[in-house]
Order: sequence, then C-alpha cells, then structure tokens
Amino acid sequence: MILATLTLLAAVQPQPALPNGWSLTPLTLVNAPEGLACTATHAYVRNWSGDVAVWDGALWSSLPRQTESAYGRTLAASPDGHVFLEAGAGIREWDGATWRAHSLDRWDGDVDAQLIAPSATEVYYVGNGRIARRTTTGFGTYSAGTWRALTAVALVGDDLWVGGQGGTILQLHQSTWTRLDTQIDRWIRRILALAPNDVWALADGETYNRSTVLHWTGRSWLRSDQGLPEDISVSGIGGAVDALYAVGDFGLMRWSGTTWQPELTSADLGEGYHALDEVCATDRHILVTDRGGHVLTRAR
Amino acid sequence: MSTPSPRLSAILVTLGAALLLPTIVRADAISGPPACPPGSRGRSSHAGQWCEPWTCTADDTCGAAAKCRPWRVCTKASDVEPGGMRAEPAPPMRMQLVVGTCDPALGCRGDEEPPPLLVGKLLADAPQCRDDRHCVADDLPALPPRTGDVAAPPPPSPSPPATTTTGAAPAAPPPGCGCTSTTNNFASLALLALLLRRRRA
Repeated sequence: MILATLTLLAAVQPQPALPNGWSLTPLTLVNAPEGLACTATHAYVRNWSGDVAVWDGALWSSLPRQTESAYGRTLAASPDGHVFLEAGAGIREWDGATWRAHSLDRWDGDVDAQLIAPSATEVYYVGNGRIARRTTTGFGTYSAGTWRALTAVALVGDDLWVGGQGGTILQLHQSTWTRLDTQIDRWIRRILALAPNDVWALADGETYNRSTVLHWTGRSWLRSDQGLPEDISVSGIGGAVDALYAVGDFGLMRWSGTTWQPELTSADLGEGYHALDEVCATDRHILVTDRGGHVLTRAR
Repeated sequence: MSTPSPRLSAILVTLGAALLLPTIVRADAISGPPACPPGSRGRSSHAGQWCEPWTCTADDTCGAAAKCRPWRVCTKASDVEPGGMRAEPAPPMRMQLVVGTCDPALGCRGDEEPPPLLVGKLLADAPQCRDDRHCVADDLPALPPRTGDVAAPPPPSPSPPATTTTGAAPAAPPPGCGCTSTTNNFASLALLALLLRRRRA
C-alpha cells in the first residue's frame, strides 16, 4: 500500500524546472525524432520512416501514418500546413487531407538535405548539383549552378541560396548563380535565413568533433563560433532573430550578439538526457528535439 | 561419462558459433561514390571517396546523360592506403585524383576552387591538367524565375552542353555508374540509410 502510494506520487510529480524557462516533455507520438520544422503557429517532428507529429502551440497530435515509409531526416512545412518530407529519392507531401508521393526526375542526391517551403506551391530540395522545385504538376529538377553535393538551401530575400561540399554557398540572383566567399572549404550542412542581412550557416569543423558557424551580415561571411565547445560538434542551429540557438551533445547555447553562451547544459537536463539535435521557432515558442524522443519548449 | 546426443551436439555447436562469430566477424562499410566535376566520375572503396578522370572516345561510352567532348581535367597525386581489414599493412598506392575541371577554353589550373572529396595524402606538387576527350554531363535546365506558378521543366536536350565554367558547371554524372542513366538505386539508398544511422548512433 505504501509502495503503491509512493509510486502514484512519483507519477504525478511535475518534472523539475529547467533553467531559463525551459520545460522537457517526452514525445510519445514519434519515436527517435530526426527532423524538426516550424511555421509561425505550428511545429512538426518526423522520424526516419516518415511518421510526423504536430504541435499546435499547446498539444501534440499525429498526422495519419503513411502506407509506405518515407525514409529521410528532413522536412519542411508551409505556412498553410502542408508538410514536405524527403523520402528516399522523392518528396512526400501532406496536403492537409492525404499523403502524396512526388517523384524527382533525373535525381541524384543523398538524404539529409535541407527542404524549404515558403509556400505550399514553392518548395525546394537540393541534391548533387541540382535543385528540385515544385511545379504545377509535381517537382522539376534544375541546375543548381554547380556539380557539388548540396545539403543546404534557403530563401534570402528574393534570392535562393544553396550550400554544400567544398565550403560552397551559391546565390541565385536574377537567373545567375554566384559563388560567395565563405573562406572555408569544409562542407556547408545547413543555411538559416533570418533576414537578408542575417543569414547563418552550419558547416563541418577542422576536425570531426568540431563545427564551424558562419554569419552573413549582408556583405560577407564571418566566422561566428565564439564560445562554442571546441571538442563537441553542433547538430543544429535555429530559432529567430532575437533568439538564435545552437544545439548538440553539449546542450543548448544562445547567441548573445557577440558570442555563444550556455543556456542549458547536459547536466541541467539530467537523467534520461539525449543529445539535442534540432531547434526551431514559432511566433511564440522555441522548440528543441533530442534523439531520444523528448522535446524542450520555451516561450519567446 | 556419456556421449552427448547428436541433437544436443548440434545445439552446442550452434550456440558456440553464435557466441564466437561476433569476435571474428567485422562489419564492413563503404560510402557511395561522391559528386564529381564534369569530366570525372566518383569512386569509393575502404580507403574513402574520390573522383577520377573519365576519358572517352565516343558518346556511347558516356551513358545517356553525358557526352564525350574535349574537356580539361586537373589531377593531383595522392598516396592512398588501401584501407579495410588486412592481415598485414598494405603499402600506399599512388593515385591521380581529380581536383578541378573546366572547358579547355578557360584554361583552368585546378586550384581555383576547393577540390571534390579526396583520399590519402596529397603530394605537394602543383595540379597536372590534361586536355582530352572526357565524359561531360548534359546541362540541367535553368531554374525559372520565382514569380508565379512554375511549369514543369522540359525534357533533357539531346544537343551538346554549352560552354561552362567551374563555377557554373553542368551537373555531375551519376556517380560511379559509368555508363548508365540516372536511376533510383534502392540498394545504394538502403546502404546509405544504414550508414547514416550508424554515424548518428
């Protein structure tokens, strides 16, 4: 009887409060999260096989399970709630009512490449020397101005930027691709465009256990990884202009304007902690996923 | 002491093998071929990933998505250890790795941009460039302007590709396939998926 009472008390105990207003919640609807995407109002989490959970700002729910798995890591969501998943050598779309499979003609690329969806009719995905874009009938494959393996894509103002192997970042301005000087030759994994003069890139570091963070201020790329751990790589960067974060095995760090500062450490997260992996922002919250099936949230 | 029955012996042998195998069997993993500049193709082995010159004499040796045409391919020598599990360490092999390519009219030196993926220990010598007939992938269509709905792209053009620079080169050929058109290689994808999972574990 005593044991049962203690067990019940333990079950209803609130989780210990985390520093800086963060709370940690098990994400039971999707096992082993791989990708995270936000719109202004919602957040979306996918796993390797393509299961997707949706957060509306208060509650999590699941999108209907697909009849065929959609293997990959990345996803994007358009403001009207269409969800796009990389799915092997194709794209899988949730249109609000059903899942649709889109093939990619002449595709050559690896999974774990960035997807963006500024609208449900304008969607981009990158591969080896090519970029896929939504058309009136499906997706088309176009030149990305390079032969290199690409894993990053962003819309910067009216221009499209892509990034990938060899320190490559290319800008498409008025039908012309131009290589930007990143001053590194290591792989650009992700590009995050917060504003035309506030663009961030996450790249490989000098060694396997380091990362490089670059910041575009409107005129040039500047190395901006001051304060990041020198022996632990960054898994993801994301957030908003006033709340930019880097996440990884070290926990969560926030950009102060001049340096990265610890906001949550692995010790803060405590037992059951898994490496933090992705971060994004809605209009009202910051969300972080880990690889073990947890989500961290904080009001902005 | 009695002799074990044949059935018990079989069970014991199976159990013994199951316990022993993990100590003598090692996992094997090779990444897929990398993306490579025009005039070269991707290769991979236990040693790593690299690009090699893709010379040719006629279009039909380049597959459906590339043409045999004059192209400049620049290489650097690298001493590459074979990699993989061996009883004895193998001596490094000297290989010529592609570091840059261009239309011959542009006269590139091979050091204008970061190279594709490389393997081994590069020698300090300057790149060696060679104008020859190489397989060069056909151009993909240009991305249409952003305004309005985008129509589907046209089918591949049978005409030779236009002159390009290293900064705006045609897309790479299907890595490593040599002479086949781009296809969805499910086996490669499955291997890649496995490798990705292992890397993240």
